[in-house]
Amino acid sequence: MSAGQSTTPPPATAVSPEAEALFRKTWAPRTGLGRLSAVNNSIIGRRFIATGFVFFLIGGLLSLFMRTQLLFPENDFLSEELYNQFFTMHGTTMMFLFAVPIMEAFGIYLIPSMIGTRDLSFPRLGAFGYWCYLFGGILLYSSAIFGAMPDGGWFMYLPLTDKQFSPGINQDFWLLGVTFVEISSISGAIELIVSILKTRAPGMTLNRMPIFAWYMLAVSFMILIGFPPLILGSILLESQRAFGIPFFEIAAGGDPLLWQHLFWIFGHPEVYIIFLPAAGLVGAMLPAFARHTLVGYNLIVLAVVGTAFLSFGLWVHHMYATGISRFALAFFAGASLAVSVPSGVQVFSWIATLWRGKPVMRTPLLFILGFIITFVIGGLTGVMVAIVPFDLQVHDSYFVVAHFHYVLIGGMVFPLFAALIYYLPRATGRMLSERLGKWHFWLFFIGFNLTFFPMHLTGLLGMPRRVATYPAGLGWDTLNLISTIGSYTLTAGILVFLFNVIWHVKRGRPAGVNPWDSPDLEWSSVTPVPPFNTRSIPHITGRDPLWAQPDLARQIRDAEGYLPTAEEGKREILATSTVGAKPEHVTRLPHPTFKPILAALATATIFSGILVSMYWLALVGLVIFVVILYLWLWGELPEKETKPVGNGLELPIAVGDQHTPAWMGTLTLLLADLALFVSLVYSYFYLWTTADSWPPVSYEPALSESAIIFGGLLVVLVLATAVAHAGAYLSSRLLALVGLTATAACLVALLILGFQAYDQLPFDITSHAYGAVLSAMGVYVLVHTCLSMGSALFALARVSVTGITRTRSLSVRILSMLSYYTAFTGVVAFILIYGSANMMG
Amino acid sequence: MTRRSTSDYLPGYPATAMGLLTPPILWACYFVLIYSLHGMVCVGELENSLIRAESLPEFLMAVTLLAIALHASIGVWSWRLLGKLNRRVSAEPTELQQRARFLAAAAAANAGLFLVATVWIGLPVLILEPCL
Repeated sequence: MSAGQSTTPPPATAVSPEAEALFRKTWAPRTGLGRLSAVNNSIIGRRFIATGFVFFLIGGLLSLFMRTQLLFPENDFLSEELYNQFFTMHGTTMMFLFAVPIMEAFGIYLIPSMIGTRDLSFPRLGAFGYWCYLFGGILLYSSAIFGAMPDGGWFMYLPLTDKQFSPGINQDFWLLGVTFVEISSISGAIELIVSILKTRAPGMTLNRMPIFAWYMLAVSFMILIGFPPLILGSILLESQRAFGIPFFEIAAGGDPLLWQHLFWIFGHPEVYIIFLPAAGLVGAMLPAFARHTLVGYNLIVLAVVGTAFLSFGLWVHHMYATGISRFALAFFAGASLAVSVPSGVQVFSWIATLWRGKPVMRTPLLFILGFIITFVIGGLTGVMVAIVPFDLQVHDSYFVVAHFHYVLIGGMVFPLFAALIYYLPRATGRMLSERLGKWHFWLFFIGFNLTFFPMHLTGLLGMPRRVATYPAGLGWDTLNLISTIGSYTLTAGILVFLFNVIWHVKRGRPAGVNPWDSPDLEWSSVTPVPPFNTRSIPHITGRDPLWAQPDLARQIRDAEGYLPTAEEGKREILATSTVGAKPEHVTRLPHPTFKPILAALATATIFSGILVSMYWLALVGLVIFVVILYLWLWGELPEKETKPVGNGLELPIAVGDQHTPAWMGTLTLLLADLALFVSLVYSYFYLWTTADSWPPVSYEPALSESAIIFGGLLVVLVLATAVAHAGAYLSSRLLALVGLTATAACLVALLILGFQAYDQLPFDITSHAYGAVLSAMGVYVLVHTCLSMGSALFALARVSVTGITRTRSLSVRILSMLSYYTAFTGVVAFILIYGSANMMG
Repeated sequence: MTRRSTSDYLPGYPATAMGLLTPPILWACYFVLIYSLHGMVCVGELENSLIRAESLPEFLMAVTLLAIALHASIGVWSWRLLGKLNRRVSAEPTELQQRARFLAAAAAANAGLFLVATVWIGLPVLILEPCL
């Protein structure tokens, strides 16, 4: 039993004691080894946050070693080799293992409570994402055991990270470890998007959505579009390192700058992927302390949507010094300046909320004020480095280090501490110490500014970043000394926080219900919050529900809302319409299962096999993964069509059509997939503009017989899929089976012909980037052909066993989506492979 | 079939989720177009087409003006629609009225933001030589 539990007995409810007991048993987590099977968002969210914080401490420790090395000029505390590894792992840890996962984790932990539901739409996907994150982080750090930590910088620039200059396995750890971790980010993003759009409490229309949900919705889309370019870049770079396929090799028509483009198309939105959730948390917490509703809700929503789009037009401002034309740089400078407008809107909104309210000064508010001050300073230097001539002066100097730490620590770590102090009582049922909190804040705030403010000056005085030591007498000595003292002060603040956390578990004041008097739904429950988050699903009539509907929290706790019981012993939530949040059907969620952890272990086997070049091992991992996936997807059909959900409403159960979360989840996954494909097409056109000859002489692929049939079969694939789709629409099992069989046969033929057509192409992939990129496109299409085939076989089995109706046809509808998408990418690849030589003249 | 009451008035585009997203999508298309065109024209890959290095600034300026005009149109359209919705609204706005006003206001504000972004990105066309 966790601390504080004894202080909050289960409330009396409107349902019978037996029904109440069954409900609680249905949602109860397992104990012992069964904990590994947990899928519930409360448990997974807490694990994510705790793991992210551990990585924060590890990354922080690495930076402390670096600051100790830079304490004096000519210091030899760390070797240059170790210093390179430490700054690489510091950046990698903070960006990939701490900042993004912990912010997403807050979404996973809080969103269901905030939108008035019980769990996220895909609990097993959340658990799978967590295990991928943990195993990916372990994979990255296992490099230390082999003395081979990545040392090419967190940005892995070429040609330094190519095999020629980095022959060890160091960079392979980075490329594979980070890609593994990114699976987790993408799975989390899909979960959040679908949950926010499909499972909000009835009445919670888009304009009544909690502001944090808006932020997480925008950020999740940014992850779906921003991460695939880096995944593609990592695959291409690993292919070049492992097999010599020359995507980035100038002599063979490639370009190392392509890596920088792919990296920063991901890397700049990443800054906002980190900042926006933190800003969302500020928006969620601020009304409770300002005693006033958030000012400018509509404008903040606009600012979030605006930032999400604009952030994809800024990536080149990390590449001002790479020789890109001034004219093109000006576009990016303009976009970089434009993004300060929505950032400013948010800052003014927070200030206005405090201005119009009656602020109550508690520790989280201190951190919020620290955040506003620090972030504004970081934002102002951001405007400075957005200006091309200024940036060229300070490029790769400590000025930039100061700038991005003000943005990232100011914009994300300050709100994180505020949120941890604010939300920990939800999980533990006890409050943290205010006195320790104030010590924590002041040590951290002073330490932070002592560390990073002098770096502006060190940078302006010319000290370059990423140097293991520096000579005396250049004016950098005292500033570095101050920075190092500051870093130890900052660390002392973090230690006070850790002590506070340990202290509060035993000694903290019981939190009770809604200890901050927040207006938001996540505080409607008793603390510690039970695994089901929301005892019954409420009907929402306003934007600040607990303030606007004073009796709402009691009604929720007393099971007076929707789905008050779990009479069938199933975990259930309501699915609602996307814009108007009208109840549509009951969604059934899975109970604890070991499938996610087993699937993640299989994925770890795949990545480990590739890392050590034992490709048979990777294949074994893949086979195991596919088997687990099939078992995962084969769900039970409900025992009845509809059920009463309370308040006189009767809804269908576990519908399997285009309204179901699984359908929307597949659609969002395809969006990420499309982003990867577009990045590949972008790579093709980018290399076209940089290569001497594109395509190279004698590389023009001629249409072979296999290729012509392949092209024709893409059209047949669409028709066959349409027949299967029509079977679902008309509830015709026969039509669906005919369509599915034809689709599967078509996909098999496409695979065979695809290999034949590839064999007849007049180039090998290792001699020129042209052949390399086109081959990558071919591989992409063939992989999707295999995926569609797997989906077709699954749908065939499903329809054969359980039949098909219009509302129970999910497997066919998902296959249709995959199949149409495969045909689309096949057509694009076909045109580029066989038509590009003519296009290029 | 019954007629909708005034309180159920659904104005449609641009007071929709798509209306809210139109300005940023338009901006993204504009940005991709001018960046890609500039890159390809400057390396001489479009030598045989209508757009050459000499005519690039005029072309980019035309595209920028078109984008500005579209943003301005959406902004004015949404703003006028918002005014209309505000005049229709009752003392206790219904759920639908609240939603429509929110979406119209967000669409208008988004059009303003992306109009500014388009102007800032397009301004260098007046000042700088292309392909340098």
